[in-house]
Amino acid sequence: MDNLYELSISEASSLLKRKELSPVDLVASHLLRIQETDDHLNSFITVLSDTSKKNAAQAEKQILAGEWKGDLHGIPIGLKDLYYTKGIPTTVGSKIYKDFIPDFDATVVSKLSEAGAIIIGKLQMHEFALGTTSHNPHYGPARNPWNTECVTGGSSGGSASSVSAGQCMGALGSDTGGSIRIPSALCGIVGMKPTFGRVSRYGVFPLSSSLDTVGPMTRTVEDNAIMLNAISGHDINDSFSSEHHLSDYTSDIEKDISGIKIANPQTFFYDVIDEEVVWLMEKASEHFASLGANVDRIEVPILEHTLAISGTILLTEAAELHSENIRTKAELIGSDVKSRLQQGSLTSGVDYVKSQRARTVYNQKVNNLFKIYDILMAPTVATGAPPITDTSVEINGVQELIAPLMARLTRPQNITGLPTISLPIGFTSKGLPVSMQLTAPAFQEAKLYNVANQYEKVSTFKNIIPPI
Amino acid sequence: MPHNNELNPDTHTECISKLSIDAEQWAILEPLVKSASNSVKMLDQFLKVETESSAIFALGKV
Repeated sequence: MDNLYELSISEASSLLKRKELSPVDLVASHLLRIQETDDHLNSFITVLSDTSKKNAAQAEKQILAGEWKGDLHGIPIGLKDLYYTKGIPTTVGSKIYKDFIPDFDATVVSKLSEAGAIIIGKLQMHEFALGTTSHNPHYGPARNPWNTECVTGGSSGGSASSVSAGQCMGALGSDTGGSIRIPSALCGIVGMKPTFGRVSRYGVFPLSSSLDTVGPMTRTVEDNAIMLNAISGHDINDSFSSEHHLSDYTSDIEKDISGIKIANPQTFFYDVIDEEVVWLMEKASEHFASLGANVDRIEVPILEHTLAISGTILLTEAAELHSENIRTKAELIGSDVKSRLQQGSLTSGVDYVKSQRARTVYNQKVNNLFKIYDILMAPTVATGAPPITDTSVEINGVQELIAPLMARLTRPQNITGLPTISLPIGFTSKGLPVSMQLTAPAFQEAKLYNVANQYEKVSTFKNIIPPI
Repeated sequence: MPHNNELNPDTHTECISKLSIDAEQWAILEPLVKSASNSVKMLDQFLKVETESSAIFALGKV
């Protein structure tokens, strides 16, 4: 193969295991890809050229000596720049932390290293992960590989653009209100927000303690399952970490899905949405029907309250975490993020508690849906990626503000903490990716990978790297 | 029951100052804060059933 960066993780892993591919060559191909494309994309804040080359050489020695560690051994992976990396700058996309160098690795970074993955660099993000465009005033905007004049979505924008463009084979993002799923959707890749507590957050710079999750972003469903296998598990250092038993997330991906029941909630998810996205969602339903799944359109009126619940909780918890920054270093924070933190600082205790109470009721009602249905499906983002320079986008004749529109359909799943995967379903007439998201009951990520993988097989949207 | 989120710069000057909010920013923030609080107020109806059932549970305990 001419361009090794076009391989999926599973393809490369098979070759590496059989000693038919060198991790040194694989990493070199990705470093060259970064060199050739990052002036256009701005995906990376830090590229770890020397370290990744050194670690690739070490992986090559180990594999040749018969010490293959598993599917991620020798695979180049990127990290959103809020994962603590020992001795390596971790900016959180901010000016305040531009010189912050952690003295330990986040738990998931240690897990990736133990699995033999090669960390190739630290990736662009919306400042403090508090935004949906990755238009960063300190490090410049992350640019969408499908159209570099358009946003990547956020907050894990660099993670999405780097994976989409073949600069790395997979990346870690974080998702508090949609920050894995939104950029995955807009950049045409697969993003998983695991069940709250499934993956350790220790050493991941927080945003909202009761909503934050971390998860993988890849170009195929199987690759995503491979990465989640490596990073899942209980961690005593994360007080919200779950001891629920672990699954092998790749083991069920080939299972027949005929007979499964999928709910497609109409209220809220289709109220403010581009007609092209609606049409592609109808096609996705037809694909599921062709696989023998039953798709029902249902009404869940309670969804209309989710923005009030999630917005109040997210901004208030973010304001608490950044209370010192907002009081003493506000001038160093970008105007959009500063405004959100100040707004969160002004939330009353009454409103916060009311939102948490409503959250409990909402979660109960959503969990009741799973007594009837196996999966909930919904569009991930209501439109294709908008231009970086725009602040609003026209949806069916009405101008909608881009920042809230991006996260409108992803926030409900953070309230519940349920696992949700976003995967591509097609393109707009402007050639921009569109995705759907699938939600399952808690800790049923294996079911999501099964359903998503079967869908991916009948669609044509797998491991596509756009020309840049 | 009064809703205690009626924040304004006259009554909370010190608080606003600590949050590095100047008059220009307050002009942007005030409608956002009010709008967000109004959205939360709308949760009252949604929570009514839960509140009533909680009250029944408390009476039962007594």
